[in-house]
Amino acid sequence: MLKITHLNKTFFKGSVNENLVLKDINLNAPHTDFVTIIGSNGAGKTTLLNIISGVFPPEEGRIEINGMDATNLPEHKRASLIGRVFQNPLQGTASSLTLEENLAIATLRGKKRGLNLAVTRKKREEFREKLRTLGLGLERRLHQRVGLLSGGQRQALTILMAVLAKPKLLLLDEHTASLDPKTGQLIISLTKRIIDENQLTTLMVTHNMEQALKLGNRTIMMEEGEIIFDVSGKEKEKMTVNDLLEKFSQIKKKKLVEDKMLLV
Amino acid sequence: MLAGFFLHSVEEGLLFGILTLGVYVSFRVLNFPDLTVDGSYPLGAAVAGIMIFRGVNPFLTLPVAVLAGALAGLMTGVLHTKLKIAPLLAGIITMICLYSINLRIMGRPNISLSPYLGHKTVISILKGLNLPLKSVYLIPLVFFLVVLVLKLLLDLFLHTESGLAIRATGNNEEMARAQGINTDTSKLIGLSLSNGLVALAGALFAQYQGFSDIGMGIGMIIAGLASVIIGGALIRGKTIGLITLGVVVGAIVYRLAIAAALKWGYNLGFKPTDLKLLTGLLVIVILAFPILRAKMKTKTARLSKDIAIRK
Repeated sequence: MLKITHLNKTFFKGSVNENLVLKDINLNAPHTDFVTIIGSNGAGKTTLLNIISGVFPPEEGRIEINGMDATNLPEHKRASLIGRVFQNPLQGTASSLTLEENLAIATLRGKKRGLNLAVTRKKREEFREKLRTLGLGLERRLHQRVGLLSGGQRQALTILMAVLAKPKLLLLDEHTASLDPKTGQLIISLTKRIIDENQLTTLMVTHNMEQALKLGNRTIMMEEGEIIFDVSGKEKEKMTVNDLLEKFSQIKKKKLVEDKMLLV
Repeated sequence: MLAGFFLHSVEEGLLFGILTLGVYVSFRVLNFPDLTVDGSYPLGAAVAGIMIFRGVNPFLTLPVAVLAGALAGLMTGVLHTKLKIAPLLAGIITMICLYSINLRIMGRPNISLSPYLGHKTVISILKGLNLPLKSVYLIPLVFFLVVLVLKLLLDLFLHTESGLAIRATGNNEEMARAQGINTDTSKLIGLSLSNGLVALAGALFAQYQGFSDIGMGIGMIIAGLASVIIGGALIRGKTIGLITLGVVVGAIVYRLAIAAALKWGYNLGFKPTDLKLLTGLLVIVILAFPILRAKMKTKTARLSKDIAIRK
């Protein structure tokens, strides 16, 4: 479903600030894989998601989505394959447009946008139905501008918009990090339901190790632009946060030793 | 006398409202501070001027002016989206290029369009129709209908699939791209539409005032922006229909204010040449008003709190 091979990315190449953010990333996520990604700040998690969604091109390597080479596809063209939810709830919706207008934009992802009216009566009914499933009462607020919604409501709307046009891949970038715990929990259960219903392949970045282990069928850990640990299935189910931390320091130590050996 | 003065300003304001609708599209819908306007407004006037001068049907000048304006907007758009030049600079570059282009089009800095010279304009044709309505009322009525139709068409467009894509691009570009909108295309369409409207206003205004002049675009963007802001303050609505209504009303109010300043400002020592200065000052006041008001409020709040504590 998602196949990433030998992906490299450097920021500010050739300058003093040269920064190798992704080093030879290889990742193969079959259909309906739900991968949680953890790692400290600057590990390259968000960069990875941004390259997959085409915000900027990779330097080397290949990205395949649903059997199609997407490496050089511009962002707006691969949008029909990818649903995205961001850390900042303001990022995924247009605040000065109404709920129904935001949803109408999302339904047209991957389609040609012509001179038809964007919100028709039929579409409005559909939107109302979809919003009702969120259970937040948003179905009564179709005509309101999104700027009036709370962060949690906006994030729920963004998730709905992300999957409205039936994408193949869902990219979640710490999408509960800026919400209060209760709302975050609500968004997580909504996320799980929507992934199941739509049979999506998912990558989810999180800083919460417990969440990373509890959700999905696979967890990868990134550090300094590399995937240093990849666990799935039964092995993942058995893992605890302590195991994960242990593993992390083990790998770190080993790396340090290797680096020292290079110096000596 | 006063009624004539009033009617005259309303007529000007209505034509000016077409320009303001264009400025609204770039500044507010696209969130793109587009200075092309200072060049595309006289471009419309230049196109209309030379065509009428050569004896072409004046109604034909209008679609040609729109097309010319749209091309000017397209140029700014290409400079910004393809060559990554910042919006302000892209607009200024097109504007300065248009100065020479407009002179080329007209072949001279000024073309007089006078019925006494045998030139037919849209206005002179309307006046010659022999309708039961007096031309004093006919002209503003026709202008009103033209602006109304343009406003409604714009409202409608902004509710279509493409229109919504343009609005999303202006509101949240990241979201727009994530939702599969080609934001470059949105900007190109929006800027073309905006400058097409501006050039149409220029073409009509040249025929209304009886000449096109190379300098008639100077400061138009500021005047247009002032009108958009005045309109937003007078009509506080969030729907597109109300906002564009406000934009047109703002243009009329702005024209009335300027006319009044010129008429009575004379007694205060202002001259007609001070017009641009007055416009600039007006815009500064309008832009600074919300900030000054907020500062005043916190100050008074603090003062009353101090007093309360002392008590």
